[in-house]
Amino acid sequence: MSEEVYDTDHFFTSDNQNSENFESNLESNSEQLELIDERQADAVIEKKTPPQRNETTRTKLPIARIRNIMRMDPDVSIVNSDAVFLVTKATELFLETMAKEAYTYMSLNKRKTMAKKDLDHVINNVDCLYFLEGAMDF
Amino acid sequence: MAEKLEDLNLPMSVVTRIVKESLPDGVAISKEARTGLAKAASVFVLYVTSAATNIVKNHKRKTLTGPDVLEAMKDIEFDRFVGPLTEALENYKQAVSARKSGAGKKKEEAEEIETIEED
Repeated sequence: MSEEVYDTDHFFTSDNQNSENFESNLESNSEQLELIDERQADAVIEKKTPPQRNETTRTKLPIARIRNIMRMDPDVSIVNSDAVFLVTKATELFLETMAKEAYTYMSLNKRKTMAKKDLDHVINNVDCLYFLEGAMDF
Repeated sequence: MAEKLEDLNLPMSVVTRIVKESLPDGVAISKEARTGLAKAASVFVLYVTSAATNIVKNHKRKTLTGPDVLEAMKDIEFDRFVGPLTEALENYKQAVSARKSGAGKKKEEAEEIETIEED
């Protein structure tokens, strides 16, 4: 047992003037000890299976920029950070989707360079991309 | 609001990288196509935001949260994103709370040391 890490003396001496409080303190202390055991167990598990910090928790697109775009919507008041993260991730997935759809079309025509007309084609033919109608006129 | 038009744009280099990584090697992307993709991405952000905001309004809430974004994905016919996004959100929340509890634990230890010294 790693007794040097957990100073159990402290748990029993601090704030223990009243004997009435002693039992309730005892309970909460043993709860704390249980929590610590759990945390130790979690730490061991975490070492064996590290959270996927590279792929799914980091974004390629800048979150701050995405947040600024979102705030341009006049109906938006407060956006929480989970939401901004998700929109950023979704936009990355969107770009992948759009690229793959355009690629499918251009490879049918045996071209190796993606052109704007490939995007136009995809916008007109893929249902979920219909919102981009007219957005590409530049 | 003195917002420049450039603020709506996402960095071209990142957009290009994301697109290239999703395609096989040897595929080139014209400059116009790159610009178009970046623009489409910005439009997408606004589109999702609008859909999510509607959901928030319907529930008479004010804060746009993660679950609202997931709901919005279904509304805008991007259902297939819900799975990967849900997983990403789980990992993101874990990473955030791990960071917070790491900082919180240090604070607790500092407070414990203080109370011992007071005795």
